[in-house]
Amino acid sequence: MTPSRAVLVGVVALVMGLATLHVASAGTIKGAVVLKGATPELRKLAVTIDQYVCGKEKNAEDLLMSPQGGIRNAVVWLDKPPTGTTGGAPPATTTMDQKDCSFAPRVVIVPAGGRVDFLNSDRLLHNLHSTPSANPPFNRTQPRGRTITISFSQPEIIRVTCDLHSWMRGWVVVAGRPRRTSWWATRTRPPSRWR
Amino acid sequence: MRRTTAAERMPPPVLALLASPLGALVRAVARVRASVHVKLLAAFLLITVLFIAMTVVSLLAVSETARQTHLLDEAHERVGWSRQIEQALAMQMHFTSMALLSEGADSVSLILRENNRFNDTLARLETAAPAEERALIQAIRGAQEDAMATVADIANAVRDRRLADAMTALRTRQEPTYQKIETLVGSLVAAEESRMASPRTSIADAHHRSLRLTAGFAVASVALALVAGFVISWSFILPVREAHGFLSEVAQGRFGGAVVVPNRDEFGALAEHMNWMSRELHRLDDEQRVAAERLRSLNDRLAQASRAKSEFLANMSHELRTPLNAILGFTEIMLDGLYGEVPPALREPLVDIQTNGRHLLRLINDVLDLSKIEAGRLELGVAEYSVQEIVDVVHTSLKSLAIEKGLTFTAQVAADIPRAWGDGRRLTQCLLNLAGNALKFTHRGRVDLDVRLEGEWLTYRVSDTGIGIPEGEIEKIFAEFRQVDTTITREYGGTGLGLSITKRLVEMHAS
Repeated sequence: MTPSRAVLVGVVALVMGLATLHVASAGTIKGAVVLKGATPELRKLAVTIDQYVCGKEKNAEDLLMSPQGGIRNAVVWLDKPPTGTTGGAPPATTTMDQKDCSFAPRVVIVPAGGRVDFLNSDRLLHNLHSTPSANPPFNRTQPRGRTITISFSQPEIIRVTCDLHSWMRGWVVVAGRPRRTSWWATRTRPPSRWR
Repeated sequence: MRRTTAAERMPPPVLALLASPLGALVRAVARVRASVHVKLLAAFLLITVLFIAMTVVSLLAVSETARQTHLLDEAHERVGWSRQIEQALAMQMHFTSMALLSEGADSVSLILRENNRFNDTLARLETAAPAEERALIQAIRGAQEDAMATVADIANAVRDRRLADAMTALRTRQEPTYQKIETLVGSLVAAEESRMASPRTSIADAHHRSLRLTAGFAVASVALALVAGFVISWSFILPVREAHGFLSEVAQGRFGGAVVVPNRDEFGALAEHMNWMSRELHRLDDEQRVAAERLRSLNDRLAQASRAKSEFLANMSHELRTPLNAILGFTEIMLDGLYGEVPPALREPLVDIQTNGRHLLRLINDVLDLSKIEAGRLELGVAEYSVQEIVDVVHTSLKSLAIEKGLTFTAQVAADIPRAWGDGRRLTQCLLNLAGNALKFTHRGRVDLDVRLEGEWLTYRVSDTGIGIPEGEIEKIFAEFRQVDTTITREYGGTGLGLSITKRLVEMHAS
């Protein structure tokens, strides 16, 4: 399952839940994004370059799941929240590091007009490369210790890769305007429970 | 006679070795209070321990060589990595130039790849480098951090089409940085190559040392085996040779000698036993000599007595025969009527006198003969004689006795028998004794006398159908004054000297 499909499943699951929800008064929505059916096997990718930093293999990270079927890094939002809905708005600036040849966190959420500070904690060169459709593309080589800040003006789910390490995938979810959309970055279980 | 020692019978080289300190070692080993088995085992263990030591030392040398070889391999590997770093640097410069020349971003990823390859190789080098090279590697690492930033800037400038900025970065930052790195890597390579010299020398030294040790141990092992073999074997051979010489002396009848060996083992015990045996033999020999001396003295006295007896008998016989011959002569003259007609009443007593007188004469003659034989005075009158004649004499003499007893008495001489060589008179005496005996002890049947030529020898044979002689008594009949038993003497009469004299006469013919 590709990352985009994983996110999609999460979104659909929550939207379907909301379709049967009758909001009579103020309340709190809590939920877990769960994958129905059998848990797909976690794939391992062999690492053939820069093993001294990246290790010898990497998790494919298409879909990270808990033993109970919960999906990690799922993003849920309400397109048309009821009037008076509060909370859940992402900060305007967030950070995505590149550590051990993986993006950390793998998914970041910024509001439209927000920005992401990309870091490189590895002792080698990474190359941030993305070709979004609504936002400008970027392709920047990044040495260790240097921060590259990218602003995202349009709501969009953007994939970020590294030209030098093909297994690296990061996602920047650019949310809509805070006035119109409520956000939850869900974690169905405490982080320590997740694989 | 002086007995030669074992040492004197040895080959000169062995003598020379035994005269050397090795000989002292042989004797020292012989003196050790341990069994032969233990000595052999100790020698074997000694050589085995040497071989084990050789093996251990060889293994240590091989281990040291392997360790040095491993160090050399590691140094080689680090030099290889250093070369890769230099190559990565060169490739980065090359791809940077390509990127600037082509003004395209395609070469940028290659620059980045080479830079990361540099990092990867440097990391390996850092892990494997000895502590004294860490500072140098850290310096390279620091320069590489600068190089990474520069490469990133150049890459981004190329992508942004800011070629002038990229060129400036290349000229002002990348080239000096790379030169610095190159210098540092060169130092690293030089340090590694210098470091390799030590393992190389060590390996060569270890190799030579191993060769020397192996050769030394091999020579020492062979020498020890030879020395141990010589010492152990001669510590055994010496007592054996001593014993051999000693036993040869004993075999030649020279007792009282002693085996002197330094051994305190089984050979030593054997030598003590032989010495004890020697003492016993010497004592017995002395006793035997004393006994023999006594016997000899006794024999001499006996012989002297025997000679005296024989002389006495010879003299007595002679003295007895003289009056007896007179008695027989006068009796015969009287019976012949020279002194007048013999009254019938006197004739029978006169005949008895004559018969007993003749018997007595024969007895005296026998005693005289036997005395002469024992006194060594009887000499055969050896000359040619006619076998037929002496056989005829015997037959004629005894024929009347045979007829009287109703016996058949034959005497046969083969026609091809030539004249023989011997004392005819004494042989006649022998045959008279034998045939007379046969007739005496035969009651019926026959007595045969025949002569045969067998090769160069004549065989006179007397056979009869008489009472025979028991198996165990055959030897006795030739002893003086002996007959098979006393009843025979009473029944048949006789002196018991006839066969004894016959045997002596026949033996005299054979000598």
